[in-house]
Amino acid sequence: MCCEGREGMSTQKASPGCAVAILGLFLILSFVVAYLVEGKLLHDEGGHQKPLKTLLASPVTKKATKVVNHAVMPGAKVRTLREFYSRRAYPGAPPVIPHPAGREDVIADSCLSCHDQGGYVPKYNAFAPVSPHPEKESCRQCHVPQSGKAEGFASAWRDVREPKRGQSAMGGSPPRIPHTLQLRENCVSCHVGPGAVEEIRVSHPERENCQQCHVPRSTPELFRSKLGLTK
Amino acid sequence: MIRRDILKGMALASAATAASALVPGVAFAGLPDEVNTDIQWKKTPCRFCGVGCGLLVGVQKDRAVAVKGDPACSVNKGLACVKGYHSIQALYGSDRLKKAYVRKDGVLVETPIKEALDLVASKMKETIKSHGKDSVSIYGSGQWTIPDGYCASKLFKGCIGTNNVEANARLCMASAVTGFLTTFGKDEPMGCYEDIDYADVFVAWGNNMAEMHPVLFSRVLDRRAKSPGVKIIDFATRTTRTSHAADHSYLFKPQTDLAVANAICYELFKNGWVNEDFVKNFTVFKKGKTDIGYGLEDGFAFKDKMESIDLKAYKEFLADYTPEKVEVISGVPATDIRYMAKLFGDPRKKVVSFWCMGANQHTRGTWINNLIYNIHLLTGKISQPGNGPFSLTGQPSACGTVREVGTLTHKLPYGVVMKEAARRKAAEIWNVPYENIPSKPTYHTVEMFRALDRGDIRFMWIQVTNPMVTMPKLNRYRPGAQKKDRFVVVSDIYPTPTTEVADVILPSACWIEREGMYGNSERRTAHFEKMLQPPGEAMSDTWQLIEVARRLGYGKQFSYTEENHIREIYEEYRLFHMGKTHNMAPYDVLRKKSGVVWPYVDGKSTLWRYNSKFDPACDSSKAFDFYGKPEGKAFILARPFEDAPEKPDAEFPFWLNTGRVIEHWHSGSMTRRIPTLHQAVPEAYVELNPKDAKVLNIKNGDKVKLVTRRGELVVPASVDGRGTPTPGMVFVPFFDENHLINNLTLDAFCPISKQPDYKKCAVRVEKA
Repeated sequence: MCCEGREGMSTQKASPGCAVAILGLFLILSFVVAYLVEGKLLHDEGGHQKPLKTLLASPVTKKATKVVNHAVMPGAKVRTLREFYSRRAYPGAPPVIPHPAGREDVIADSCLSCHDQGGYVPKYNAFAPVSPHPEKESCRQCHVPQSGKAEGFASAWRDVREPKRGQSAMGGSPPRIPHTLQLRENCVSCHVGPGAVEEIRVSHPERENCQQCHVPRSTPELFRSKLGLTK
Repeated sequence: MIRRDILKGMALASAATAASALVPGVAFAGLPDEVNTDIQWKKTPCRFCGVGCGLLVGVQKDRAVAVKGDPACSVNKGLACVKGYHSIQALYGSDRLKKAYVRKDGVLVETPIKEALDLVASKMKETIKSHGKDSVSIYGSGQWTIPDGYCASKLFKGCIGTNNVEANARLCMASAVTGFLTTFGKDEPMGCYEDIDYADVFVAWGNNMAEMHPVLFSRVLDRRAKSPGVKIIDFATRTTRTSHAADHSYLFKPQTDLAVANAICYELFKNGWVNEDFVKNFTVFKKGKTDIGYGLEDGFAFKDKMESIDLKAYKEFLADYTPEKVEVISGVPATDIRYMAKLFGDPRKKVVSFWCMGANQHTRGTWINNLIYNIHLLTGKISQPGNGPFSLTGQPSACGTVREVGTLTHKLPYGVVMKEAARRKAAEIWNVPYENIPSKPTYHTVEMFRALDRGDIRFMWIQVTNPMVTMPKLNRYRPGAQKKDRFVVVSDIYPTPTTEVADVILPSACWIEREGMYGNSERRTAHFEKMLQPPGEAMSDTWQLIEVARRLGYGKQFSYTEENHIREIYEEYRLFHMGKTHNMAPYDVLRKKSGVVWPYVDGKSTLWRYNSKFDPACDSSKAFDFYGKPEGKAFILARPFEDAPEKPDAEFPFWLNTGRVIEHWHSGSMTRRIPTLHQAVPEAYVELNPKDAKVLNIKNGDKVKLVTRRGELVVPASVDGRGTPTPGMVFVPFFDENHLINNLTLDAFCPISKQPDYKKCAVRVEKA
């Protein structure tokens, strides 16, 4: 018994009585939330959006500023979620490089000139996706181009389903983060701006602290201490 | 799952069900998330290289579906490389071997594995009876888990009584071992990866770390990015991604690293950069034999002899290696040699040297290892955080299995077969008569395949390796293995050029389809549990060995239980290493942690050996204690420059260099079945220097014919591609079984380590 550890949850001994109590609490909470949602009490002032300028002045969304700053070009190619996943061996795998990747003899051939801040690339008539970990210098350590022409061995690999979107814990509550945050701590890079996949673009980029409302759906790291010990 | 978890799960699940019934449409996922989450993350060391990254493999039902770096593993801190991220796809090639095969009338026929194991055992018995114990052999690998290698050694050396045990790590780090043993008397690096986080200068000796040890290289880059002034020096024969990422890249002519290393030592003395106290207290000067040969002939034998010399004699030896003289030999400008010496000599700078195949696959591999140690010993930059020579390994358990368990002809799990005490210890732990273990080593790897060709060896069992792609001079060893009256058993997970020469193929369980341990470059032993069922009748290499051992009548020595055999074997093996110099963590600790570094003394890992501040095995009255050598003094060895056995000439005017690429693992039998990796680098190529390509009128993609004295090969050209060899050299990666470059390579080896040199032979290059 070790690493798959489903331990570390606070309810060590969930007696039926305790479960009922928790249940009651949840019931009350959910009714309150449902009421608030229905009553639109959570909607921002009158439902109209703040002017873009005010949003961009926020220092915490500095990164977002630069991303959002590009006006979406009408007619520019927009990545779909399907394309997004087709470049990954499984959800969460490092994506391949889907375009000619330049010099092969370097660890990164000016990848960050497009993928650090994003921006419109006329050559591809598209906005460059933004890297969530631009501090890593050796891009080709994980991202490789595809020749696309090689005949290969057949594989019995089966794709796993991508994580479901919009997984709210309770009706109307903020959806939880359906993927690991490892190497993707910077939410803004993938969820904000014209380079982001449309389906996962966030509707409120002005909110600064994503994890104030959105929490990871599964946190397998919970049961591990920094020492790597199983509790 | 233990009982408490089940109960907890049941209670929570029923609470959630009750809640859903009460309030339809509202998901109570805040309750037991685990009930819904069907991907379980389990820890394992990576299947591939010697860096030994900790991975978390996502398992959904009975399949591995995802990978991420393990943030709890200090090796990689959550990062992996493209091979690691895609590693699990190597399990799912459509042509996985699921059944055993036996050659009948020349054709491999599917056979129940029990029958195949019966045949292996009876063939072994028969061969021993007719040709003697030394006619049967096993050839494994640095990808053997610790229990695999341990069982192989116990069966062959302890029970059968032959030292015919070798592993492909001989082709990979034997020179590292002999380098350590000759200089320090104990194998494996003294420092650890944490050195990277403190060093000011990194010197990569013939080591393309960016591709071969990518996660460590990222750690080096990270160190440089955060600390201004940190420098990376690339010292190589070919311009690579590492060269481009380095602050300086110095190119030397093949084999002349020996001369440059001595020139650096010359400069250290000349400029007063030698740490005199350290040298006086913790080192002695020695010299060995010179003009030591290349092992090209069958039965080649060499034994080094150490002689003491004094400081004066050592300085006289160095007088031949002034930077000016060495510039002529090596092509490295004297100013650059001086600059490197200054970096090592600067007392304010902490220096880490890294090397791997460039230094080890070298006909003077032991010597270049010694020479790098000389530099670190002369400056006292060793065994301290941020200061140290760091020999990297290629395979996930080259250290853990081949070096520590000792699956080499001269080795036992503790000590060498030549030593009576070592044999007695092994016989006692193995529960075999002391007389069983022969005191003489038999064949090292190259000689083992020569013996198979000659007929001195009649039976060979090959596990977890693909020698019919990776041996040098394959044009001799492939027909040798196919001769009549040779019986070859191959345990593998896919059909390979090696299974093509097999008489029996045993389907193996791969990596996380069984339980095991690997040991990485920094002495870290890492455990992985069985996460998946192996396909069909596939069986772990450990269990195959146990089954055969039992059939040979060694049930007493192999009485391990099926449920707990990995624990039982590991705990038995651990007895060999008890004591402060090599104690290993208990099984239960390994299960919990993402790898544990040995020596593990009183519940704590020793991260810097030989330094009494960190290492409880040291004599605490001394600052440093190289306890592998008499009086705790390491050897500074006078090793000269001697040239390569086969140099370019009029008929074969180019150097042929071979190696790897980041996407592929060794012979490619796994990574070529991973779609992303295969599509990234679908086939081998020959890299040419653009100047040479122009003269030969060869353009990128043109077919090129390479011819050596041993064979020829046609491959597409790569000009201005991933690497650029120096003018007069070509480079071919060896992963591609459709372009077998090892038909062309030379089987010359370092006479001390017996490791072949895959980096240097003479070749002719023609436009095909």
